[in-house]
Amino acid sequence: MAAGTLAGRAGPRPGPSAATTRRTATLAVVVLGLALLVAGAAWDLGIGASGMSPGAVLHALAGPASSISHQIVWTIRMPRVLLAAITGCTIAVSGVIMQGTAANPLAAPDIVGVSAGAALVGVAGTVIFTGLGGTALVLASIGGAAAAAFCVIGVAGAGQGRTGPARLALAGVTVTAMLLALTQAVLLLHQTGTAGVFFWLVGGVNFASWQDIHTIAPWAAAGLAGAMLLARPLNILALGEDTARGLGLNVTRTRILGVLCTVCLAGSAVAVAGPIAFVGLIVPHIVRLLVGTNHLVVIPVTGLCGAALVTLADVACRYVQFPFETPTGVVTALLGTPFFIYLARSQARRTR
Amino acid sequence: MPTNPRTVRNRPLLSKALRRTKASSVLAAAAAVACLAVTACSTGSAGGAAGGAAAGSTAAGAATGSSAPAASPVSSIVTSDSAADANARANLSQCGLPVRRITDASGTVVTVTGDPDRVVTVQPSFADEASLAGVSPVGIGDDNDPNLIIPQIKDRLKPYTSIGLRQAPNVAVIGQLHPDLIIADYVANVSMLGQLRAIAPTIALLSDHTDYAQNLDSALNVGVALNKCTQMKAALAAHANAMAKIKAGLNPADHRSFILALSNKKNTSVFNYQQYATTVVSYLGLTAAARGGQFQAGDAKGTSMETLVTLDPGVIFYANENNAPASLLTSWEQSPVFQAMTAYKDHAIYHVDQRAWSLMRGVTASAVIAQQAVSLLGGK
Repeated sequence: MAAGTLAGRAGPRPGPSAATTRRTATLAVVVLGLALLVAGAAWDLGIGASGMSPGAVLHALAGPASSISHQIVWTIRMPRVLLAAITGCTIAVSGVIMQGTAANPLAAPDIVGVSAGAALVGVAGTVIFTGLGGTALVLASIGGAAAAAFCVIGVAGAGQGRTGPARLALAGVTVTAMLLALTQAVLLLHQTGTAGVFFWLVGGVNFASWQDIHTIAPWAAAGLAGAMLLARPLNILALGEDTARGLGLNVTRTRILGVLCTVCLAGSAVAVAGPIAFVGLIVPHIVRLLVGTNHLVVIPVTGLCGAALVTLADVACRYVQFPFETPTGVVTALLGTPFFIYLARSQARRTR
Repeated sequence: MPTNPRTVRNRPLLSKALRRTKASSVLAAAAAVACLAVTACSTGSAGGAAGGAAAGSTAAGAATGSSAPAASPVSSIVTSDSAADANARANLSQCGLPVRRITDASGTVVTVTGDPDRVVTVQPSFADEASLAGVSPVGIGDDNDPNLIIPQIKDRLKPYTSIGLRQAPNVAVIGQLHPDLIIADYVANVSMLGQLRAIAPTIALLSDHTDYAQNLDSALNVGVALNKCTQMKAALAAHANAMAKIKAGLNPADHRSFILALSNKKNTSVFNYQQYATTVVSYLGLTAAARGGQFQAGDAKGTSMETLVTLDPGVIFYANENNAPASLLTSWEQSPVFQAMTAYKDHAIYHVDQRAWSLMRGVTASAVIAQQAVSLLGGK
């Protein structure tokens, strides 16, 4: 936890007993996150219009491949649960990497335009370029995400290393507003093909298939591996740019790799599941409040908590108008915000 | 007053709110965060209306007007005690008057003088009905796409000027056409009726988010407004006869359950029993499966493969958005779960044209849908 204490922003440096407490807290968060993820996944797997009992679902899981219930569980429900976990994980991790790379607590794919860029491409790919599919759409979405990210960095003047939190957020809001306007223009000018796109624009895993899993898997794997490799450089970067340079870190290279990693994670998630809001911004903050700031710990725990949050959100969204679909993205914020406010308040009380 | 004030009034607001909220949720989140930066406490907000507009209403009375016999084929699909029907009938009293006071769907009494011949219609369905009465509009909302209007209607129209999007027609273009009557869509154009009324007398009628019977009522109102009641009644009587003939082509014992779905690459939605094309197919004698429970209210609903399989309709009509060759729904056809459905086993899954079945509405499109449905279902 040495890097974590080094990277700590405020307060006295924790002593050995504080490190032990933190380790216990981290363990508790991991256990709780895993429990929520497993419970959410099991619950999600158990819901569906065909009304199978939990026993029937278990039976179907192991049952003969020829049975319809087996097919329903394996080809409709299972990819949905997996996609919820994967997109939750990748979007949350992209938020951590972006916040670390920009040294900015407000950075997140849905704030700095990455999601909006990928969404614009996704909408255009659905409404205008109807032939575009699968891998091509993912590549295009990642391209859109990257273009938006570099646009925001350019507007905020991030390359000059004096980008305050508000400045980046404002640049992000500006570029996001422009991209949303373009998205709305595309939708308005192609009214014959937009009903389903509005649904997708909220973000959700409602119509997941194994094809989606195959599409996102390589990007998610590469992005998550890249994120873990960036953990140590980001810990050093958290000491401040000059210190990091003094310690021999290639700051520019780290930043570029960080942006690429974010774009890869968030862009592929948006291409498959739409721009699920909130997860990339708040989950990293929740996790840092609980386990400290060491990226070697924060990145995997954020991935776990993001997966648990979106899986639980998917469970909740099923009940809005069962058995019809409500986009998962509608409930992610409803679930996460109260928890975040509670954490932030209790933290503030403790430091007072 | 419209058929069901709750229904029709709520719809534009809700559907617009739906569109705006979703698109603006990211912006809202970003804005919220920017504000909170001051307090160094970040939070997010994600919106997105779960939405769903209010229920469609089953309207409206003997749509062929007073000349239709009580047991007219068209009236067999409609229910009684409808306000819209009373509205359309009340307007019939203005037939033939040089100055006609027409109560439109917004409840506004609009005064129309003489025989309008420079007519602008926001919806192609109103253009269809005006041309059935012998007046070809000078301006039509066609979403800037000359192919939007199905050939069965377009062949009857004289050259016209496109007034742009149906949701947001170009007011400047409309003004330049110097219309003497504008027929707007109450649901789609409710927020701009004032602007349109500043240009010319504007009646707001029902087309978007309506059912078959409401479209026939709109046709009657178009006839009254154009001072072509006789022609319109004759056209509607001819339509009723044509529909009866089409219906007679179907096995009268065919009451299979059916759904109408709309799909794109990312989504499949099912229209409920009160929506336009569904009510036309119901008229033919088939049974809309999308009714009851959550289907009782609301717009087309996002429907997963599992929910579709559980509904297990006997017949599926589906359109792909933009008439794309493939969609999420067509990809489902590879699944053993989908293949276990009655409609799949009976080879009763039919691809239909989105323009005729979902975007057009009105008298002619109804006959086109009915004819296509009977052909697809194999007749007797």
